[in-house]
Amino acid sequence: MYFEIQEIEQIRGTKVRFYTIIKDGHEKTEFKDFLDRMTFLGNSNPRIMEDLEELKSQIKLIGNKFGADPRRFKNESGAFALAKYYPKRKNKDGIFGLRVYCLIVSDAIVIILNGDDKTALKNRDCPKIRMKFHEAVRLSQIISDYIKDGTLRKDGVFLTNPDNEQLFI
Amino acid sequence: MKTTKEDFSFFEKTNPNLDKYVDRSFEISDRINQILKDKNITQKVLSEKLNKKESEISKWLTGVHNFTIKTISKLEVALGESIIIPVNGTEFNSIQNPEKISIDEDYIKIHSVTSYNKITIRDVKDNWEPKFIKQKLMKSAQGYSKRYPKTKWAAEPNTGYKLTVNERVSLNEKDLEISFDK
Repeated sequence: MYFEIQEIEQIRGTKVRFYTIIKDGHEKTEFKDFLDRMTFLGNSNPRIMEDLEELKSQIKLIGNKFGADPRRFKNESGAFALAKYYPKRKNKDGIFGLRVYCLIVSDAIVIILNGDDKTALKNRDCPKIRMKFHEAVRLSQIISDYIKDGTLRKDGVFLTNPDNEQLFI
Repeated sequence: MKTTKEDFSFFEKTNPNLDKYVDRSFEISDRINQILKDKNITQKVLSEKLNKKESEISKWLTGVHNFTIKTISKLEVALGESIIIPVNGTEFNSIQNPEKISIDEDYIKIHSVTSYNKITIRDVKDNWEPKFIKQKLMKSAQGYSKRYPKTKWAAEPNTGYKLTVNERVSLNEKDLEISFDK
């Protein structure tokens, strides 16, 4: 399966540009899919909507003020994720909050992938998040390899595919 | 790269209270990290001083911990520095009184240091253009960078920090706020 990387212009920050990916045959980009699913759930679950609002706030501040410092992300051994914490509430009753996976390409480039609502301490114990996590790890590795071999290039806030090569998962 | 045409208007709606809360949380953790770096204090030492687990200190330093005033006060005592600076406050980095910095025959008086990367100078003379102050401050910063470690990059223009001067007019006098941003 091949995929394409696209910039999300509507959340472009002064310090960071955010990108996402769209897989061949899919109607939505990964981040849009996450956002739509969580918005739908959030309409009947205030906690999910609050998490989504906090994620939005963190993404905007990373983009416009603080840059993509890995300290702002949760490091999950192979993939980074937002939000790092939801300080307004404790992780209780099996609620760990929304988790969206990201690849920090540089302090000015972030690729936002997909995620879900995490309901168990360990990713492997959460059926919703397990698949998303494994895919994020795999995609992070694949995209990092494309950058290393020069297929993808990073220059400041720009991530480019200069020869328009097809990217495969 | 192509730009997605999808609708992300969800991000256009702002929540000022939440945005400010997250912003302040990030700033506070940055401030603590900067003090630790400046004073060569490790997380382990800080955790011992506060009688906390190192993992908890690590969490505090990452950005979105909901600190209580009590915890911040303990941190300030342990670090020997202020973490939260009152607006227009003068207590920061041991500056108790306005300081005079010699600039040729004139001087710049530091009114306050309002955050780790901002200082405000007061009593700006009419013929002092921001560009002039910027040049002079960059030069004179070399002499006092040890006393004011937060301004050390002003003396090191090649570190990637840019220095900007923003004019603002207060009730009775003209202030200049000088920011150091990367």
